[in-house]
Amino acid sequence: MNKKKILIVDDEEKFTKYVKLNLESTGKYEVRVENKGSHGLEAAKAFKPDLILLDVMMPDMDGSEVAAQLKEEESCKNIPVVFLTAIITEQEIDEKGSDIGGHPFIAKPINLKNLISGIEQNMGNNSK
Amino acid sequence: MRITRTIIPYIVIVIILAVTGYFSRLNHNAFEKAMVDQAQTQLLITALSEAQSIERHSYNTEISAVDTSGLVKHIDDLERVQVLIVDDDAKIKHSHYMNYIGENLLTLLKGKISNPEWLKLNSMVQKIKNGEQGTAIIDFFSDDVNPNIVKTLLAFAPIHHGNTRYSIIVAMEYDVVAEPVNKNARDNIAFGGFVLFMFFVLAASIFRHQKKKADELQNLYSALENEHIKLKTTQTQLIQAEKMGIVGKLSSGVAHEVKNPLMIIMQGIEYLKEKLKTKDEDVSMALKDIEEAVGRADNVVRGLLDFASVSKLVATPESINLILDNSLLLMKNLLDKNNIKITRNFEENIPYIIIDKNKIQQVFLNIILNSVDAMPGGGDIIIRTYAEQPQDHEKRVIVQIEDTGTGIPEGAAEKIFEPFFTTKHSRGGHGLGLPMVKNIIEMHGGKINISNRTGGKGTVVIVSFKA
Repeated sequence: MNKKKILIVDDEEKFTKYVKLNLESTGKYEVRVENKGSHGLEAAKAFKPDLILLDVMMPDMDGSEVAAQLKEEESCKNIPVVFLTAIITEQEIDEKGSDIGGHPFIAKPINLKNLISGIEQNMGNNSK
Repeated sequence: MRITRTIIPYIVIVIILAVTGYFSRLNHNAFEKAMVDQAQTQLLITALSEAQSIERHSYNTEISAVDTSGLVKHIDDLERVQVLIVDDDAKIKHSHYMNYIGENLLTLLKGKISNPEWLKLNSMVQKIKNGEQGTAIIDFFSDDVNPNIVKTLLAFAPIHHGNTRYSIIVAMEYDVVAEPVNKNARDNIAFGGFVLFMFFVLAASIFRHQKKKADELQNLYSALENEHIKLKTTQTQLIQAEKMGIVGKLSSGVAHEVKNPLMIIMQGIEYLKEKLKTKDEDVSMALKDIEEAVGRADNVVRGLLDFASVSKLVATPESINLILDNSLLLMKNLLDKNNIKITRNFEENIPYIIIDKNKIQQVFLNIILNSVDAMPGGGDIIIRTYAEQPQDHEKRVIVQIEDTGTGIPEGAAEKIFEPFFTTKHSRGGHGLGLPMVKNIIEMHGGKINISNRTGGKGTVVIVSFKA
């Protein structure tokens, strides 16, 4: 059985470490972590994931910018992106614009069961 | 109130015109009388002068013969004037126009009048016999083939020739005397009436102008007052929005900084649960407790985000009844599960109000949820909607939500809108529900009041919005 490739782009190293461990412990996923937003596009191009979990607020580059770069890149534009965010408010959606608004969200904190459910729901679902 | 104010000036004008008309008529009558009196007096003076002239030339002299006298000539110049001189028995001694000498005045004239005029004629003749001076207006028949009634003015006065007393009577068609007088009177009355009319037109115009000015001023004042209220409300809302904007930014920052560690804890627990597959119940319990604590902390942060997200409203005209029904529908399972009966007393055709329907739904969900929490053993929730407009106040739409729960604990009434004040710690309350409700309502320019029911257990929540 082919493992699904998940790329996590999030600046919280400890969070990404545990998510990687937990997802990989299920045996269903191969996870790669990228803690810099600005490296997100390169990581996606190199790893060719089946789904990208993308943090919204990162110090060097916003999740919405990373999503825009992915959309511009031919080899990445069809990869489903799921935003991970600690803040979900209408204001935030307005401010981030349609790039973020058009993608599904997963609110932090989330337990493993719900995270997997969110991943499976959006896998192969190219929303943009 | 406004209609009454509008009608009053017209009523006043109508009254003024009615009174003016009445006085104008009175004036007309008084004026006419004065003019006629004056004419009679002049006629009488003429007659007396004539008499003096006659006296000077002896009463037997034909008046036509005394044409050297200006006065006599004056009389001669007057058409349709009859001058008679009678003795104290009213027997005609001289007649200027026709020869009636020797005839009795009463007998002569009796044949020329209709019955109703008899009394006047008799009274005049009696006065002449008594040597009195006076006037009379009597209708005579003309001497034509087809006689007309000729209104005649008669002036009479005693004259003396030696020791004998006579009376001179000057008769003239009333119209000849009165016409110029009446014409003058009419002209004067017309002019007076015109002046009076113009005066009232002017007065009414000034009144209307003043009233218009006053109304304009009043309208301007009301508009200014409304604008001031609007401005104050907007200012309050802006301050509130700004405050909420700051709270929003602050809570976003807090949420980000808190939720990320919570996420690490949560994922850490997931990892430990997988790795520490132990039969030690304490370990399992510890992990479960940590997981629950993370849940509680997350709940507070979510509440804070909800609380802070009020800064922006998407307001559209909405039916409050529909929003309440939607809220009840969303809570149906919870209400049924908790054995809570809902009574809806919604006013039909309630005015639409400009509100953010999602936010207002959030308000009602919170209020109803509080009621549910206050009735663990079941109970009633009575929801009433109505529109009201107290005198001199704007129209408002009111929502009243009553429950039969435990009510507000003593001493808690003042604090229920304070952030993080909660009486539901044990049930996961974070004390941000009612502050958020209040914020949302105030952002809409509305008001909320929560109190214990009078004469029964439970709480009454009254929310009001501008209609």
